[in-house]
Amino acid sequence: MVGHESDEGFGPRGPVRPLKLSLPATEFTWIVDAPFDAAVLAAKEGAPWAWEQLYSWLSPRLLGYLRARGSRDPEDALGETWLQLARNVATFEGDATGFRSWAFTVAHHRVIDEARRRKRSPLTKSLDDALAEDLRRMGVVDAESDALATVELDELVGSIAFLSDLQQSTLLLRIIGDLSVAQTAEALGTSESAIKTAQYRAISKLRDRLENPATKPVSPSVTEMT
Amino acid sequence: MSQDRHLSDHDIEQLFMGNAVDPSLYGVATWAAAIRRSADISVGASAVTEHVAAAAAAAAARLPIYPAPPIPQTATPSRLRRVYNNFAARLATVAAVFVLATSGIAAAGVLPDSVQEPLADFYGIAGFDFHPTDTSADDGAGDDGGVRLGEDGDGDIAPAGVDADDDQADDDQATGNDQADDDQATDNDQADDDQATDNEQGDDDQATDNDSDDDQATDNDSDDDQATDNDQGDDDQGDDDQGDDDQGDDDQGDDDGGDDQGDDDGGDDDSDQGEDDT
Repeated sequence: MVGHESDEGFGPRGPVRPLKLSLPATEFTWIVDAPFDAAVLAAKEGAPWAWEQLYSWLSPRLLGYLRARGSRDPEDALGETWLQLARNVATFEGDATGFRSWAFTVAHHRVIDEARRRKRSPLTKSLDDALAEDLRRMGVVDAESDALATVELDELVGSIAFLSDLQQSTLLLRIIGDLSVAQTAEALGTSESAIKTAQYRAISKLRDRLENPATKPVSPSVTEMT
Repeated sequence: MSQDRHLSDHDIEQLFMGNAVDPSLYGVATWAAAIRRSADISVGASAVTEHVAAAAAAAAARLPIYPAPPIPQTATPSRLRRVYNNFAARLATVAAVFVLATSGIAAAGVLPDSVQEPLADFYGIAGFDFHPTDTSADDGAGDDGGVRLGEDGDGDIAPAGVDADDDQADDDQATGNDQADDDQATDNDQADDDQATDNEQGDDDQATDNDSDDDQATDNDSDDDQATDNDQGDDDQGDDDQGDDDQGDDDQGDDDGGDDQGDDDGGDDDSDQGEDDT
């Protein structure tokens, strides 16, 4: 199958994008299913090269989703996500689309877990924030590049902060993860109809907000959606 | 495009891809394209190395990835086997085997008396009589029985125990003595052959037998009692050392009262022989 990546919605930019890995760019794009299957098979055996390919393929989007969902330490959450994927990869059966959906589902769960931890220990949150701020101040973390890389995303995500959590998750999974309605419903643990309703309401609210930023968006009624 | 336009699934898909299907959704399409682009965040090199190594190690730790060979279907253990696996059942089995083995051996009577007696007492509780019979002992046990009978003067059973003694005494006497020995041997043979006859012959014969017992008493320890018993009528002779020749003479003299001089001689000879034996 040609153009598999394009069909999945990642486009040529995502997977082919260099990630500071000494791997040929062609290995990042699974144009056909066979190489992906080989990579997954090797990943199940613990081959580092296979995990490098999978990681390079999905990590930018996974990291973006984690950051967009408000993770305090997106890279740490990303590491936990891949660790969870590695632990359960032996049970994975499917193609690249299925693997991507699975990866975003795991990432979403990591976000939820992190939010729960923050609720249980708010002091840890402030300490983490203070530590991150100190690191940026000391130059350990490139504050400028970090800010440049995230400022746009933060602003974009901030523009949908008025949406419900389900609506935000639906939009981000559908757009960043390129998940289908069914995959999004599975990741969020709800029905497809709920996802359709949520995305429709989210689009309507966002449209109103973008057209009239100063006005309070009015959520469309059910009759309008139908 | 009005806001009331119904959005199909295809429209939404295009919208999320950044393509506005309606001018009113241009802002949303732009937002979607922007967030799609900004969501591609490069991961730090150190994080990449760390995460990849951790993932590969975790995946390798989850090996084997290939389906494990099917576990051979073993038959369900039988009820007997499952019961046997129980510790109590094993203990009961061991106990049963022990009881059967010991009872069989005890019934056969091949065990030493020191073992046979406790076992017989043990199984006697259950109603089994494994006590050794008198006929099974031709040695010291027979001596005691004969002597006891001699004490009581009951001539009916005494010869059974006395026979062995007499036989031995006969052998000893016959080996190193004279006619007196022969006489005793004759008497003892009679006792062997016919107990009733010996008893009927009267006290002399018994006395002769006892004498021979006394003579034997000088030969071994088990006969000490016999000598003592036989010498009950004597003074202090039972307390004396039976190995003395004089004692044997006195015994015979007291008991027999000179009824049979041959006995006296035999007694002397026997005593001598007893010394030799000892």
